[in-house]
Amino acid sequence: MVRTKSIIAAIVLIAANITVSAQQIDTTSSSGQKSSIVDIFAGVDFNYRDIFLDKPYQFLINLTPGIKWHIWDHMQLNTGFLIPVLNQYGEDFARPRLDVLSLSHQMKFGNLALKPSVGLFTQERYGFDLKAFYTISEWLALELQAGFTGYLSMAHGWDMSPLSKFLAVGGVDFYLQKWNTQFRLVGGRFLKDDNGVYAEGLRHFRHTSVGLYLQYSDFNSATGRQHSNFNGGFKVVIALPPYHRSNKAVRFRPADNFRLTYNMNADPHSCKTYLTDSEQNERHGWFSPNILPWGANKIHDFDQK
Amino acid sequence: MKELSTIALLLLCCLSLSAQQYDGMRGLIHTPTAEMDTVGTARIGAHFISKEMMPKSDYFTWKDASTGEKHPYNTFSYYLSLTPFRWVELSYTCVALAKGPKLADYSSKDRHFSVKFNPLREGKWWPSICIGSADFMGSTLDPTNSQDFFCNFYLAASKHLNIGNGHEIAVHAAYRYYIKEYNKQFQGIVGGITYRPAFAKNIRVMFEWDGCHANFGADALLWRHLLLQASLQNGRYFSAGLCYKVYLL
Repeated sequence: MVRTKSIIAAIVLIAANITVSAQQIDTTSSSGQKSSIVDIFAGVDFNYRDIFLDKPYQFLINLTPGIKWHIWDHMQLNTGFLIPVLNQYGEDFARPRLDVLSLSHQMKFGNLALKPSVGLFTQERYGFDLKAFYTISEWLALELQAGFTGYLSMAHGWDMSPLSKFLAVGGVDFYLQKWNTQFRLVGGRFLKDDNGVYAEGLRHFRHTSVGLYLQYSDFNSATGRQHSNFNGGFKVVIALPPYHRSNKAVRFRPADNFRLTYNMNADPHSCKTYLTDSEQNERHGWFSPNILPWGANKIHDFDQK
Repeated sequence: MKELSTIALLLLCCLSLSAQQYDGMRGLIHTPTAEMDTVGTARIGAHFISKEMMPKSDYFTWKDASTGEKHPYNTFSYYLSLTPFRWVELSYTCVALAKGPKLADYSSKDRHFSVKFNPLREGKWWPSICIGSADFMGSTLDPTNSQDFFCNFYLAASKHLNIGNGHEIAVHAAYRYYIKEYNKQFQGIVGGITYRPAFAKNIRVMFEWDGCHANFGADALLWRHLLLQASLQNGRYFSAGLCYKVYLL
């Protein structure tokens, strides 16, 4: 009975916070821009795998050009392409194709930040996505990602399925300010209809974040695959220069980050989610710094001139 | 100018540089120490390893098809290591495995992780103490036989002494325990002595006992980022490494 009352009280408090703060929506542009800005960027998507005993590695390297149109007040149209440069993974990865085409909007209601997105996402998904981040304190926050998507692939022409797949992953974030270290524990239903738990620890340095992760997913046991349900590895996220950006209407720049994720069991299925932004990464998170000045977002990698 | 002089001195001494272990962790040639990199230091490197330093396992021999003889082989490793906090060092290492004598025969690899903790920092009167493990988690090349080719656990201590006029020596000692029988020759009390001259503080000369062999070598840090390493195992077998240090803080 006491526990039920506590849960109800918590829900009421959160709802009250949202209601009271609805009038305090932050309308300040993230970059102080007076008009819309278009970023034209390009990066490299580097993949390698070691799954054969008689070959050291196989590589898949894609050029990833993209366009981001910061329309107004945290509304953004994002496109990204995959152009194979070196492909040893097979025919499914051979064609240049659209990777991301999404429209998203960041909003803040008191301590709650929301980011709905619609369009084409990575992992060949299309549909709707909602990200929510609720900051409880400087070191504690809650996060949730929910999506309703279908399959859309341009690997061999056009292949599409109706919207049918739900994804719901939520959890808790801890941030230790003194060491710029973040711990994240999330769980739920992931992209391949698997239920799992994912934990990671990231140390954020000046322009680089390095971390370890562990995960459990029932994908392998549920599908009869002879692989462990446990997996882990490490991540490296590097914010790429230039670190000073102009206020020009059209900007040409490299991709703002390079991510490397080492997957110990070479498991491409378990605990997967899609990206709604082609430059999304664990260091910069889902929201821009002036929407969500929490955790690693306080480490400003990029300054506006 | 200082760096060029360093290179010339090293070439004259016919010493390659190898003050760190081939798995990317800070140490001597084939012996762990209780020294730690500064926090935020990342190393990306590769190391040529003589067969004398390799485990005496069939995975580190290639079989001559005509005679049936097994031959141990020299190999190489590459690694990524990081000191994310002052008290812990982590490393991910790949060691190439060969099935023949040619370069193209190096077709697979052993992957493993290493870790070192530093619960006690060096003080004026006491040494630094570290506890660590190499290859505590690795690849599963053969599911019927646990790999752990390099798996060992150790307790190490290091103490630096200023011997006057800026010259420094350091004494390192460790007890190392190997899981696999074919590595037992490297088990037990190991250690070494290093010397850093006052006139070339970026150079370090070392001598060690790795439980089986007496090894010596040197290293040098050039332009603050490039660490050159090499050694002679048992006074005869050459190993060398090259590493790029990145300071993330």
